[in-house]
Amino acid sequence: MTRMILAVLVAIAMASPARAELDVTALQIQPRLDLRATAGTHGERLRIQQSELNVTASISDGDSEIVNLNLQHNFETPMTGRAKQMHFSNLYGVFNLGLDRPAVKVGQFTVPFGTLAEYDTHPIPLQTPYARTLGIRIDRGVGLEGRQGDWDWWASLTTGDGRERHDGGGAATARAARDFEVGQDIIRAGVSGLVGEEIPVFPTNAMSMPMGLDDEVEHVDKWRMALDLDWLRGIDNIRGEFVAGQDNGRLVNGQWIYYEHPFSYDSSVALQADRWDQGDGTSLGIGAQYHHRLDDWSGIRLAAEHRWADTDAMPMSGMSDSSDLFTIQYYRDWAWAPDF
Amino acid sequence: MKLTFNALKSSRILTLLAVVAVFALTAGEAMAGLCVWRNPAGDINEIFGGGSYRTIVVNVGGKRSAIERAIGTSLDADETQLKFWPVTKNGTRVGTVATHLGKGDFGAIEVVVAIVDPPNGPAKVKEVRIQRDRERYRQQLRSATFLNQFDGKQAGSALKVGADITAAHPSAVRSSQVVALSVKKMLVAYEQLGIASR
Repeated sequence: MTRMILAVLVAIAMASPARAELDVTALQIQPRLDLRATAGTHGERLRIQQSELNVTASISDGDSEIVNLNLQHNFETPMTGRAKQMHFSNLYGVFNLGLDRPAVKVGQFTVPFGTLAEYDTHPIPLQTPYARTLGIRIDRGVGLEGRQGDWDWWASLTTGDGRERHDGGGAATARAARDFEVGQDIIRAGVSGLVGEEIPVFPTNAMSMPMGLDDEVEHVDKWRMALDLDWLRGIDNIRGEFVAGQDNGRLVNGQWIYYEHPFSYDSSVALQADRWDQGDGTSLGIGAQYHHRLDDWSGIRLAAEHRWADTDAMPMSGMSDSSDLFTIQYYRDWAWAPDF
Repeated sequence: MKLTFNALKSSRILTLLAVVAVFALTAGEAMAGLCVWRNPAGDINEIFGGGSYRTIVVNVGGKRSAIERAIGTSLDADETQLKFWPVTKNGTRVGTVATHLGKGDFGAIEVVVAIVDPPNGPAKVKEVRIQRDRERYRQQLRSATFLNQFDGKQAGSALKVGADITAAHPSAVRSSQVVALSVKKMLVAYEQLGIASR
């Protein structure tokens, strides 16, 4: 972590003209608490799922924002190993080179693949299928993001093995997305690609998050292509991700579909289903989630998820081929910002 | 050993919960409702014909009462701080962008308000945009017919549906008023917080 902070500071110094007088014009400090009571196949628990601190700082040269720094630090979570590393600890700077030029991203950030590029999944019980489809989420490296005509685009070169790890591989990821307005609807469609070496693969399993499987992780050469959509259909939201590719030459593919219906500003219900097929088997999942805001800063979610795994190999010790997870989440956000 | 570790872990959790409880009881006036700005490049190019921006976050602080009197209603609990983006072009300040998250019928309505300062008059709206919403009458709410009504409006304007603003659709009166109130809040806050000189 210290080396990453130093790297970001060095990058700021390199990006800043010597003559420019830099000034912090905005600083936001946003703690977050996420308590979860869970029940299901893996027992009953009441835990602090996340207690984290998000810090955002804007540094300007008087007229223009030079860099936006983002830090996310987690203090407490029951997650361990790769599951934890996929979830927490963004640390990056976004360097603005001018409105009509792409911004440069340096540090530890979410790879821009599919809906990961636009939605932060980590505070929500129902997860998108990145752990299966990619095997990584937060990764170290450099990226570019910009806009060309109606298209938003992202590209990154990262170590390909998750944050705070580097086993000699690497990943190149890119995505482009644009909006289409059709009557009352807005459809955001995206296309993504990833190619890399020595990228982790979790064995096919029926877990909601691949916890405790670090010793079973393999590293393979991957490529992935994905189409994603984010459809505001009236008041409803339908999202999907359709992924195909290869792991060491073996075909893989999967689909994820998500539907959310709001009852009011404060409450909504979401349903999702996903499927992922890779060399050692197929996993399937369905989930439902109800969200209710208690006030501007807090809310609850009730979630239920059922997963199946159909594996070609012998089941891993202690692993079942299906699992249930029921979650009651309470979250609370805070924010502070000093005057400048 | 395991018992000691578990005890240590439990004590960390209890300590954390205690800290959180203290925050919850004492931090009521230190919160911020801050809406992101999703497309600064596109908005600045289209509204101001180019330029650059910087970010400022301003505490509402002691101006809260004055702002609430001027807008005729209370600020939301999370509106203790507001975010503005002064826009500069060729070394000259050409305007300021503010964003606001209004509470629509089925989700957030994210409103972008571009404000300019005429040489001899109060600040006024240059353009209003909606960057995200979950409303039934989205097309009408985002239409030029509805949004152009806000052009030129000032902090002293009524900005009320049925007075100086016509609803985007007869069945979208509430969401239209949410947009109008967002614009009013940001114009009043812009003046009261002295954003023009920041």
